[in-house]
Amino acid sequence: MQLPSLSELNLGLTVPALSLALWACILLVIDLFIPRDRKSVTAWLAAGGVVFAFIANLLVYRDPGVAFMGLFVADEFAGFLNIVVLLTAFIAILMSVDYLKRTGIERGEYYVLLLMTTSGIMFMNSANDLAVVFIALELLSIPLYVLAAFRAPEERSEEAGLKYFILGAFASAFFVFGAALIYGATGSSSLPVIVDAVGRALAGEGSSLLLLLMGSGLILAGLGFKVAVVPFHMWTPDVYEGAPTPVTAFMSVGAKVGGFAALLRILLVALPALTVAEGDAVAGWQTATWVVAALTLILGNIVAISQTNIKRLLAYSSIAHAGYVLMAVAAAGTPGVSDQATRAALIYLMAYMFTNLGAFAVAMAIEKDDGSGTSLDDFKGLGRSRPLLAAIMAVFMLSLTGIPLTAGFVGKWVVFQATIEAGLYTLAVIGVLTSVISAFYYVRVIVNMFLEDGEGDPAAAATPYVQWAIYLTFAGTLVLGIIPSLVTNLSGPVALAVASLVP
Amino acid sequence: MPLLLVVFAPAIAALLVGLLPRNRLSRWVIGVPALLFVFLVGQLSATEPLSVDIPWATSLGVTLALQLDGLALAFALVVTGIGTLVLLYAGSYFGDDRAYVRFSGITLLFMAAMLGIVLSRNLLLIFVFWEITSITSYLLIGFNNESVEARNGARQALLVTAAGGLALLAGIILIGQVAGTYNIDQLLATPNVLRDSSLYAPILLLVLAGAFTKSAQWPFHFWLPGAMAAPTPASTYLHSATMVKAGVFLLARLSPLLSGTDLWLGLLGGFGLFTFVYAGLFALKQTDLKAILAYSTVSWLGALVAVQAPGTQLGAIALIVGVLAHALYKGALFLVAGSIDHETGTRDIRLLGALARPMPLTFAGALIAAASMAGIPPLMGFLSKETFLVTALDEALRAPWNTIFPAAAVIGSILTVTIAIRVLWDTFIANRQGELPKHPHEAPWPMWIGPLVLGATAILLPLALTLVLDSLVSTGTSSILGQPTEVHLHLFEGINTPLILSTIAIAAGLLLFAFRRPLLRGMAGLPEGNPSAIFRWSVETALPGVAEGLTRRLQNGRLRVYLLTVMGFLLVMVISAIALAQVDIIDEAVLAGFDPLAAFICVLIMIGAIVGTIVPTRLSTVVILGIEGALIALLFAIFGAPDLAFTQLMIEVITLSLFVLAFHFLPDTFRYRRPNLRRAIDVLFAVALGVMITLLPLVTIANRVAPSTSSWYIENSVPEGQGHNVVNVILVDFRGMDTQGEIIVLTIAGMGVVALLRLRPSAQPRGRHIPTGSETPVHDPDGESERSSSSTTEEQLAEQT
Repeated sequence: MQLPSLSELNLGLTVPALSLALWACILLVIDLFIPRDRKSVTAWLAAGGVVFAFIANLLVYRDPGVAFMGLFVADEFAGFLNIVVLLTAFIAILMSVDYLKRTGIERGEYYVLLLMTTSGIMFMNSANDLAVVFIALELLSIPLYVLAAFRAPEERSEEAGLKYFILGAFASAFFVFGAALIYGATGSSSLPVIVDAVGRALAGEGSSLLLLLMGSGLILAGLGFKVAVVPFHMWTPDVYEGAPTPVTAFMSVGAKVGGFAALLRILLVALPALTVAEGDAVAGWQTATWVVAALTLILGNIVAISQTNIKRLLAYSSIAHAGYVLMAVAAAGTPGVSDQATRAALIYLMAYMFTNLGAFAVAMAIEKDDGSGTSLDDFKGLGRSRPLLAAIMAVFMLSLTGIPLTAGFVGKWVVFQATIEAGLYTLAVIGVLTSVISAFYYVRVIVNMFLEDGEGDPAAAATPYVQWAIYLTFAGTLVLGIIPSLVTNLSGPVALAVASLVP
Repeated sequence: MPLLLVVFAPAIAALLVGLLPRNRLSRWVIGVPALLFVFLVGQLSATEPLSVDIPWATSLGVTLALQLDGLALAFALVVTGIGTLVLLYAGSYFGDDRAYVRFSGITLLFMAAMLGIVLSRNLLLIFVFWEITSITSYLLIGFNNESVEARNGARQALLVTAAGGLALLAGIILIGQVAGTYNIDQLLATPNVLRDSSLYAPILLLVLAGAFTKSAQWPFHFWLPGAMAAPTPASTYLHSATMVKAGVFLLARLSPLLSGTDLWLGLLGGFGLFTFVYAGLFALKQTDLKAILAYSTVSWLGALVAVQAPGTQLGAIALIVGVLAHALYKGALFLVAGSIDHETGTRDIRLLGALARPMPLTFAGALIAAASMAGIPPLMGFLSKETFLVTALDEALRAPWNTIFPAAAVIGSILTVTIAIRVLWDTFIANRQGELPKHPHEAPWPMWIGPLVLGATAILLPLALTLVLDSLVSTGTSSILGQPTEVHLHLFEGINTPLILSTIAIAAGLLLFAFRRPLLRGMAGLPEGNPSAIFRWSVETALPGVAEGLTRRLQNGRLRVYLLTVMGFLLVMVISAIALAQVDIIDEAVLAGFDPLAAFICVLIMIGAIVGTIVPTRLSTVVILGIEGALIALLFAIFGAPDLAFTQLMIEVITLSLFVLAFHFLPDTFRYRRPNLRRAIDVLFAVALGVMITLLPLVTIANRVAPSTSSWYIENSVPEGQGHNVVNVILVDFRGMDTQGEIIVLTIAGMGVVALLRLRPSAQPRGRHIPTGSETPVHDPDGESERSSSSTTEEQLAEQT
């Protein structure tokens, strides 16, 4: 067997993702020498790693290319999503520093795990081969299982970890099974090679169509778990509620980014030509994603109405938001719209990242040390006791609803536009209607804060780092909403053109 | 550039209100709208409309395109003019400085958004401002947040108008889709592009959904009376003079693109006229002064929608005149209602009366306004009613509209007259029935000046300022129709049908007022058919009910349900994929390799699997699992893989012993029995999944795409790997690196496990239970012994997994 030379591996491109994993390993050792009462040092070291990766990411992705003989691709798509993920990780660390301290679970491993999973997501963003996707998926998932249970021996947290693990294991199994079937049908696991094989395979008998259909269905199921779309969403509320809040915040954005990155890349790079019947203009998976998106939107938004806990509410709303991103994925199944739809999905994820992290940060600011104080009733009177915090939260809620001048509107706008461009009118209508429904529960938070009586919580003191996180996400939400061209231009060249990915 | 300032100056002022000196704050605050009003009046004589176009979010198709055309000017004058008076008025209305700061801040923000709506030349921009008006309206309705009524009204209004806004957005997106632009000027360049499109009907319906909710057309009208919980200055400004006309405005803005079809005529005419009559009728039933005015506002909004139905020049004229007249008289009446509430402490007309003497100046304002509303010449309201009737009597109208339109117009006008008289009579003139909560005095000057100024304008515009009025109406009509038009309005155009009908309306209105008591008694049984109740029911009962039901059913925290759902989905997916692809399920080659001994073992394994689920004790279950493993090992042996068989056996032994060790801490039997139905479902799923898993390899083998790799390994095992045991060669040679990696991972994992075990704080077994994951928990009647609580968990876990 011919081993590739080191220069052929093109390692430089993997620096952002790889440095984070390496730094996590080193940090694990360094952490041993950091005294127990000064674990925030570990946090800052971890944050430093994230900043380094962020800068490296900006430098590396100016000049796209492939590494590891085509297994790993560094393009604008990955670069953009890396930015989203790294911001998420940074904000999550900001949120964690004091939270871990006051809930008594301050341990250095926390940050190590966070870096590990971040690195996993970045590998997901760049994975150009089904095998790499799977490894990245595990690198992303396993630390999250542990993080979800990090509040152990608190029962809810343990339950969260257990449920996440059991269902996540199923998801991984689905994914591997699907990847194996696709490999069986095409003889390759490399995405750019699969796309040619799909064309050839479809020209032959129906048998490879079967493998491809089942394979893509299973992959959709496996990744559907990670991004929490119906019917693979069921773990979400229990896990989100039980996990430590910063972990929930991270999970609700990071895991989704990774999942959607892999989903988009697999569907658009490897399987765009997968059509069910000959002469079909649109990809065969469009119907499946369409249906899943519609179900997700309807269920996520309706069930969120009955929630009384802000963390559960945000969990359901995160399901619903996955539905909006999935709308864009479905739209990408129409040839000619795929670039626009991909861009829409990315913009949506960026907008969602700021808003959702912000909402979680506010939820954390009013959460008590024992994890209680996250019921919607705890928001009553907040408008009077902490007007600034309440006003910022109101903006986050409006952004999640998709009201103009906030990031959420820009995200929804581009997604709806792509959906309509792709001719999926019914889906677009469902999207609009469910947005209306979502107003119902988001507005309730605002009503509780400003209109309902209640003493608020005078002790609800957001610690400085959490406040930074809140201001950062608030700024992001508003800036994106008011000057959307920032992000729409940033992702301008982002397109999953197959040609540019082949080494 | 000045136009940008027109929109942004109030917004900036809104942010700065808190910084202004509190003393005589209202004098400062009104500066901005007053200056804007003066500036806009100056634009009346401009020959070329001001415009500006600045790129904003070009990639989304949004530019800051503003233009002050005739239609925009007419509305902008109302927005700034009434805004000035309302802000001045509110300075005295709110005794409390802090409340006024909040009120004026929100109101200025609203003003900016409203000016944005009327000036925008980009549909998306209109939508953005549109939603801001919904939000500011929500904040103002819920201003008095201690009252339940205010909170409900605010939420209801927001949900209705914001939902309508989103429908409008969908319509706008469709327009952009069809025409390729959101810019109104570019759209007007090809005016038929929407009408000729196959998407015309959905576009129209969505746009109308937005406009009708905002302008409170039946059946969406109910939010407007609910919005009367807002402070009266806000009601005056938003819910009568400006915001509720945004829908009417939008229809006028888009009418060159959308009007002229039967659908347009039918929808606008039907809903508009019905709302006109319906709301007029139910205004009579109200006893709250503000509610009367709210219903009568809804009624006139219906008329303003209806006049646009024919899409004629007459309709456009009637619209502009109608908007101006209504803003003048209804604005004044609302302010008067606020003053009365402020001075007497009540708005109930059954209590009020004889206020003309203690409040003479307020009465004067109210008198002019009511006269204008009733359409008494020479006031602005008279002109408005005339133009309305002229539109209704247009000979160009086809059947059946040429009868429906005039009939509805006359009936509605009669009702309007009655309402106007009633408002004036019952509050100011009729004898008081009981004691008022407060002894009435004349209101402070900022509160009576508004109605008087509005009244004076209503007199002067048609009499002295005809040039101003004509130019406003001409340019406004031109921009609605999209072509230059010259209009001259005259108070008296000879004795014609509209004048006769107008006179009849006044007479009949008076008559109706005289017989109002028997009429109201007759109406008492008339169901209002108010959709508010349906709305409340759906929003407060049905939707949360459905949500809760769904949550209970689907999201009950049980791992079992979660897994069943996922498995069910998988089943559907795989089976439908097999069905879609239409492939062979069983390959003959598989059947050809039939081995009776292996088949016998397979049957044994199946029996074992069934028995394993039935046996009552843990130990027997595990033993059966072990036997299953051994049988599988036997299968391996039969097919020539003794090493695999050996490995399998080893694993079985280890697992079995681990199980037995763990059982030391658990009870012997499964104490928890599931209900039969649940068991049946589980059995069904298990069987279905088993079938599916069996099908999968069968189908995959039957539909092999590439040749098997086994032969390659077998052929190359000796020459490449120097070994006769293929499995061994694969493990240590062909896949040597993988094995190395696995060993490392296992080592690290082992070290981790050891470390974790040593970290464990205490060796005491802890009792745990899964809080939300419990089926019906098994309660130990003897109390919470260590053993029982941990066993509960185990059963649940076993049951769930």
